[in-house]
Amino acid sequence: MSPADNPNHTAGQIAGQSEGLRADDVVVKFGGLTALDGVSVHAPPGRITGLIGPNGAGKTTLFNVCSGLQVPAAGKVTLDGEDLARHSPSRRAREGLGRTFQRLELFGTMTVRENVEFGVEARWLSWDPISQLGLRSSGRARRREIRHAADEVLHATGLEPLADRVVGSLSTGQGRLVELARAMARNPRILLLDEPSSGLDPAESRDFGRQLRELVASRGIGILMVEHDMSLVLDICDWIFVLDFGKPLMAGTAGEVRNSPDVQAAYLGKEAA
Amino acid sequence: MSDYLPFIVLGITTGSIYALAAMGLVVTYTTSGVFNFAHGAVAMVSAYAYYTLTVDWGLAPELAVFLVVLGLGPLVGVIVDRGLFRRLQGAGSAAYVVVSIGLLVALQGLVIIMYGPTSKPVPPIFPQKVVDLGAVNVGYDQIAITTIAAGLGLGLALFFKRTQTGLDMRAVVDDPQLAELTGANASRTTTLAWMLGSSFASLAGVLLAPTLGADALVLILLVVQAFGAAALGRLVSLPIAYAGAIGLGVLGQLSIKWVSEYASGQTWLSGLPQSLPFIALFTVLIVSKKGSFKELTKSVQARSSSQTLAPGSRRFPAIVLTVIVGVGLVIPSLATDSRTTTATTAMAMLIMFSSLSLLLGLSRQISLCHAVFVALGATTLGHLQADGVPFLPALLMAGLVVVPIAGLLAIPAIRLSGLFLALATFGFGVLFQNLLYNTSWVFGTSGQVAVERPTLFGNLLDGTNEFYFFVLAIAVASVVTVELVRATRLGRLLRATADSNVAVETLGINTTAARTVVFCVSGFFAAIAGGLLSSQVTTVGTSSYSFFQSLIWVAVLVAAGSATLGGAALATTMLVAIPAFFTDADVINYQTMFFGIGAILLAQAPNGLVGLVTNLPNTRLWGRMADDGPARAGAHATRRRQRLAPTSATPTSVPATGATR
Ligand SMILES: Nc1ncnc2c1ncn2[C@@H]1O[C@H](COP(=O)(O)OP(=O)(O)OP(=O)(O)O)[C@@H](O)[C@H]1O
Ligand SMILES: [Mg+2]
Repeated sequence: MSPADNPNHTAGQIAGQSEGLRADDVVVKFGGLTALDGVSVHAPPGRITGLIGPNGAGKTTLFNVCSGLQVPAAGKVTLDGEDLARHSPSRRAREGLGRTFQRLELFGTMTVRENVEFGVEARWLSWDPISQLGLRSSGRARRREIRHAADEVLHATGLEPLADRVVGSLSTGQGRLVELARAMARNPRILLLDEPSSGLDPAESRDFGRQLRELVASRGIGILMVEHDMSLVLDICDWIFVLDFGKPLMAGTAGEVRNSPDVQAAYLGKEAA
Repeated sequence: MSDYLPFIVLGITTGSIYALAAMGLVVTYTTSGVFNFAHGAVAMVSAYAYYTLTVDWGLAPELAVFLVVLGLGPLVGVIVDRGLFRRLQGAGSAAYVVVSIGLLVALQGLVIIMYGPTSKPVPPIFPQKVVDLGAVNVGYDQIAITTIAAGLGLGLALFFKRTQTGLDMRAVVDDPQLAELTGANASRTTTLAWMLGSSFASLAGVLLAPTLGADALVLILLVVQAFGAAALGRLVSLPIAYAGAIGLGVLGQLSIKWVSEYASGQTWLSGLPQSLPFIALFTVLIVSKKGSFKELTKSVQARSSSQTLAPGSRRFPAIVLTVIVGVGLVIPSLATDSRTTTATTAMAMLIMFSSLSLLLGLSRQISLCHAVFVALGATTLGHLQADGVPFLPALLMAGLVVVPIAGLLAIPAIRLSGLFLALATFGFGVLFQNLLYNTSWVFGTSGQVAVERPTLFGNLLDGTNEFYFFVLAIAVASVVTVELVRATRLGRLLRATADSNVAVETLGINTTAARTVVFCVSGFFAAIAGGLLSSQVTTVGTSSYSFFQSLIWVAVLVAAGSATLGGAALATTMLVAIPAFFTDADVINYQTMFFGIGAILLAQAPNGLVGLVTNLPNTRLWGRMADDGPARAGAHATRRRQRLAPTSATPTSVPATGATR
């Protein structure tokens, strides 16, 4: 299932030129529980890839493996062909992998703008400790640039009215947007979104889907998205991976997933349980 | 071999007592997720209660033991659980640490108020007879204690494996909310665990009392030895905690013998026996595989991140600084000499508190060994002066000597989150005190180092006012540096790290450097403070900077406000000025108790008393101090929530899961 198999939203720009994020045969065990058992996903640039599955299927765990927070027992994660196994989470981020969290990870004591600016500023950090400590002086021009970039992101995400609110005082839905904005501000090539629409109402959710599409179309980034809102997933994802109890169940287009009896069974079975 | 037998017997006996304490810790920790630093204080209170019941009231020892262990112990457990920790639900682990430290400090203060500082002898519990086993004489008490510990250990193991309540407790560990749903009453079970754990602590305290007397500090220090044994079992394994305690007990006694036989010349080794548990604690924490210590603290209930720290508190505190300098400049002209002396101490303490607030308030990493930095700064200054180094270079070097030692603590600071970092620093503090304080490069065998006043431009600053201005100048320079750290990008990075370390990491920033630097800077200024404090009184002694001081400082600073310079200033005032104005000896003890209570009450406030006052208009309690990443408790908590979330994510439904905060 290369991106070429899946022509509908890729618009042909960057897709195909670079590989994007690929996880192959990932295995993760927590004690006796096998949370992931040989799972592979592929998130190329220029495409929104869905990752769905019932609660506890291992979606968040897979995200943690991709971003380096969880060491897999087996399997391989590559970004544009480069093996990430020995790369720390921060290095992966510097190489272009961004993410948000299902359980929000915000800078709660800072304002929305500061959160976003933090993301913007991180673009210029390299591996060396001096820059990591934020000690390297940044000139006035750089600061203006940071402000400007943050303004843009705030505008694009519709967060302008909240810019000066302390993040800790926001609602979950707003918090999710801030996380997205912060991750976007970093200019990732591949963005992992863990349940970005939960906390939004159906109308907001549709709006949000549109924003994501625009984002992908305008910047050519790749998105891998875990989402429980099936209508949103089926609406915007070009390709969908389905997990069940840590095992790959199927992968295909929205139409294929919608009509798959296996998927129906996994979800309905889960509900009956 | 027979030489060793008495030591082994003694080792097994003391080990058994630690085993009781350690198992109590494990029971409460695994069931409630709260590590109780005040475990030793519960033991101590029980020992005093035993004293009161037997000596004051004349009850028979057996009856007294019964009342204390089965009455007072569980009662304390209930109070601690329901009164102190329950209301923290959803707070970060740092708040839990602070509350239990506050409790420890408060109980110690209370006991000294009630019973005085000297040790109270208590009657023996068991008949004072020995059994002659040929090679060795074994006391009845030794047999009894060993049997009791082994029996209770076995009992606990069976209880957890076989009884419904025991199984419920384990279910609660696994998943409190799930346990609730499946019928086990998690809340009641947790309380039960607290009663159980607390009565084990009581028993340990009562069993130690006849040999040691009821003694506030000694008992606390001994019972915290159980921390090491518990850490060997990662705080969750009963059998390892038991075996570890016995092992450490025996090893401790054997090392007493070895040290006295082979190394009696090595003064630093004399502290080895009591240090073993802390060596175990510190080593286990810093060498264990990353992530093997998982915090169980229930951040299940999403943190109420309604923080109310005024945004202004993140700017450079020009006004507070001006006030401090202004007041500082006029004090000598208004105050008597003795008041100016107090003010000098205060200025030096301000440096200390401000260095501590970098950790506690900014990066929200709890350091429980700040006294080590201060002591080391003071003694190094003294040693360098003795070698002829002039004051200012010597002071600077004293600060720099502490930097790598503080940097050593950055290892656990990077690897471990909230609770475990606090434990590691605690272990380090006690270890350093036991093992290194009496070596010649710290206090030496006399426990005392002379420190001279500085000489500036050929004048010895021996006058009260001259020295005061000297300290004031250094204090202002130090505080400005600390505030610059807070107000600049490094400060913002540290604050972001405290809010969410994983978010910082996944934005591409490696936080190792920042976490190391903040420990080093903090240690440096603590050492400077130590140098100035000791130079004022021209001497420094072991007793001024025991591990307990570190705990009191943390309690005071949290109560006053750890996030701003104003908080550090208030902490200084509360700690230094109050005893200066109220010279009654009891004031100090009351002070200690109130600091403890203050820390308990304000652990969740964003910036202690100062925060409450500056935020009066919009007071809402803030539920989150340092928190943890999703790779650890976060994932755990997420999982808990997810399993409970309505699983209605059918292919047609709209947002389903309860990923709400
Ligand atoms: N740190 C951990 N320790 C132990 N088990 C874990 C841990 N993290 C996740 N698990 C388990 O791994 C399995 C997969 O969890 P994961 O969070 O990846 O599922 P998910 O697909 O994201 O579910 P949801 O849709 O509810 O978010 C679950 O059974 C969970 O209980
Ligand atoms: Mg998930």
